[in-house]
Amino acid sequence: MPINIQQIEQSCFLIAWKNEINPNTSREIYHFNKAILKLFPDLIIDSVPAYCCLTLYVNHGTKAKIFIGELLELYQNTDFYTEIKSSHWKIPVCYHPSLGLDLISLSKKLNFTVDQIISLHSSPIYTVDFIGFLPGFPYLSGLNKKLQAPRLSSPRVRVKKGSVAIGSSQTGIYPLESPAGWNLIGNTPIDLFDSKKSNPCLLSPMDTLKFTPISLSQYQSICTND
Amino acid sequence: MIKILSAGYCSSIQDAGRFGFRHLGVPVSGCMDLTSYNLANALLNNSPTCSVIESTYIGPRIQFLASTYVTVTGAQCQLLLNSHCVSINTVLSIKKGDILEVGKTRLGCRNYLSILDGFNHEKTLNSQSQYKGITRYSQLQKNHVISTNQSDRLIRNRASVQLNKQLFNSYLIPALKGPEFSLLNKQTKTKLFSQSFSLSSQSNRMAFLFNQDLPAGTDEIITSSVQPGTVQLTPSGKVIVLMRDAQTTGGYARILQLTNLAISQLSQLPVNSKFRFMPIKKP
Repeated sequence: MPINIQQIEQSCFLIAWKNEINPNTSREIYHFNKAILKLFPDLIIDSVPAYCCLTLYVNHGTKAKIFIGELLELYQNTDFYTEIKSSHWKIPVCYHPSLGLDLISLSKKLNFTVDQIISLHSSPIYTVDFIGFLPGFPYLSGLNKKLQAPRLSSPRVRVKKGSVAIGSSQTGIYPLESPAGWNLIGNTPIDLFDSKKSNPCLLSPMDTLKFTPISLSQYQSICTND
Repeated sequence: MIKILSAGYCSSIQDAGRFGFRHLGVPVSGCMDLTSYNLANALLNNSPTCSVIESTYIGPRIQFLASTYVTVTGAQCQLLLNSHCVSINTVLSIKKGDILEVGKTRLGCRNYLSILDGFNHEKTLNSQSQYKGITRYSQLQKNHVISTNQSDRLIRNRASVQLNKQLFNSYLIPALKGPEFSLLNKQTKTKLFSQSFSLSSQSNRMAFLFNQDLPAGTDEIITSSVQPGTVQLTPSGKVIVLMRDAQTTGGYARILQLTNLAISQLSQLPVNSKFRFMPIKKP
């Protein structure tokens, strides 16, 4: 069996895959999560997917042995090749040094012009692997290896909502004002998370997205229209 | 309705927690000491998920705009009703205009004020628990008026309970082994349970930090889920215990996992007080 299930604490079960970041694992986690939520709608309080694990928070009193047995059986009967219904998003980003505070220092560090960084960052199609860390924060895969850059040696206490950043091999968007240790390269005027909406999070796991560069004046006009 | 005359320190409205949104990165939140929270609602025969006011070290001063019943549980503290001393863990009958002051804590550091049938504060994502970025305010504010649920329930038997001191001065915090416990070398494993830790003043509702490190750290892991009570070890040997406002995923090794009761015990420990982790077997 390629998965291992352990009870972490009375009402928490961790389903672990091979310890690596791999698109096939993400696909399995996506489908297995759907299957679990369908089969145990009343038992599951929260289910949290990550790169190579799926964590289930369940009602108190769940019998561990029986539940683990049922999960293993369900895994063997899950179809991992069903088509994934996902959305593709175009996220406008203003790559301007006044918003991307590390854009110029990063261009020196990586030996690229600012325009080259923008082009390398806005060309790929990224996949949302999962949402975590902060409300609505997407863990994206697909960053061009040439843009990999170490995290800041000391994190900023506060970065602006919508900040687009690079941290080692990852890129992401901070949906809320928060502390941050990644290199800031731009900002999106789009709301990724709104707790007042019934579906508060714009992006879902397995969605794809592309960053579209916009000018500072376009950025400001989208901000004022909101 | 009640009016907040002074907010106290880090006071906020909390309930049992915000469930069903962790896959969107939304923390669970809710009361740090769920044991005292449950007692606060039980004494008033409230529904177990009614919201309360959580305060730390110094509680709020509150004026009641209608008669009701309240109770304060948690840390031993000075509790004044219209400037007269009253007891914690006891149902208090409140008349319109009364002023209740939750004073400095003496044993433990967090208090829970429950009111008959709970506060009727704005619910965001199915919970009243205040959290920055999710609710409009992250803490109680001076001069705010908070509405309460309408209730004509009378409380005839005024229940009161004895303080369970063990919750407030426990030196041993029970802990289960976490998913990455096996990555620790023998020396670190021994040290983890033999060393005393004291709470750093930088601790908050998101995470507790300590004045002591372990001699060796562990490599970061591929970002995985974390939850309240997860004990993390950083590459430099720092120990972090995630509390109720914890992020949903993290990249540090998860070496221990605390139960709800252990989180309650830990959350009553004031800054600089010492404790040790005590290994317990799987649930």
